[in-house]
Amino acid sequence: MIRKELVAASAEPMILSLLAQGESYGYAIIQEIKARSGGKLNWTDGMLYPVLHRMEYRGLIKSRWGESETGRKRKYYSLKKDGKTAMARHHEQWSLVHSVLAGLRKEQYV
Amino acid sequence: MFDLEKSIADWRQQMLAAGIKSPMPLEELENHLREDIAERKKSGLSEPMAFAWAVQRIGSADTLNAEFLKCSGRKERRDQLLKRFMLGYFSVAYGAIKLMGIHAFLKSDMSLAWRLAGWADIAFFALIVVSLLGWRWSRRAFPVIPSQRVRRAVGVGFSLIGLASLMALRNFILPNSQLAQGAGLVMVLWFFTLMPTLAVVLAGLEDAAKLKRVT
Repeated sequence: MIRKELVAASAEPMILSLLAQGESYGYAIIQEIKARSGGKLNWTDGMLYPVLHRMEYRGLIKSRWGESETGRKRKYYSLKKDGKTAMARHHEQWSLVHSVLAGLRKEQYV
Repeated sequence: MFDLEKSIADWRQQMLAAGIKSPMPLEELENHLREDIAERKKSGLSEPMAFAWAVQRIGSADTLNAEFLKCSGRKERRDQLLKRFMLGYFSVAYGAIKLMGIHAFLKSDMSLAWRLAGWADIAFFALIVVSLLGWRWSRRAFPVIPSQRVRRAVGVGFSLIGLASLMALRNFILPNSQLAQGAGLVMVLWFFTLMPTLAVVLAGLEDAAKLKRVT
């Protein structure tokens, strides 16, 4: 299980990157992240929505009401231009963190 | 027997009580809950178990609300505070005027008919206060009007009734010098009961529509 702080910090880049592939809705986003992390990135489901709303409020994503296959109302989210920029910045920062960590780890085995 | 709709309605109430707003984000959370329950049932869980798991996964009302409050803008929070302050201020001012009216009524002389009319007002007013104190229960008594347009029309109608009664009181009833002793006072008392009554009915209609909305 991944630590709470890390889960919280990675939520925004994960959502942005996922929405970059096309619009999606809350339940599907959670399922997708869960599947991709082998169940190790485990959000309290409800917590996704405040994050989505905050991102919408900041103009990173936008939402629209649509319908599910069964005819139920469903809120779809998609990326806005600012969201793409934010995603690029996130990727840069995460790669930097990752490369520093990877470099340090490699040196341990030299 | 487990009733899914009833359980979801109860869950909605808990969310509303914690301060989660309807329709948004409550609608979205409810959609999520229903979807989660459906998926869990598909994978073989019984309905009560699926519901219990989904509720647990979505998180407690208070934690959720705290998170939602973080993302609502500062202005929104200030508006909320201001609204509460105004409501408190007006209820205190209103209560003081009403109590002064009742005090004057108790001390003044009048015929039995007007005396009874005055007591009827006090009883009715007490009923309104009691229904406000027990709002959790009394709000269930209101009919559900799903159409927002109809509810708005009722609101406009009520405002007109209130305005008309104020005009009648001010322009025709109170200036009338033939008025029996105490009659003006009793009518003013009734007018001061009419206002919150209309407001309570409107709030009740809004709440009923909010609570029973099932997608």
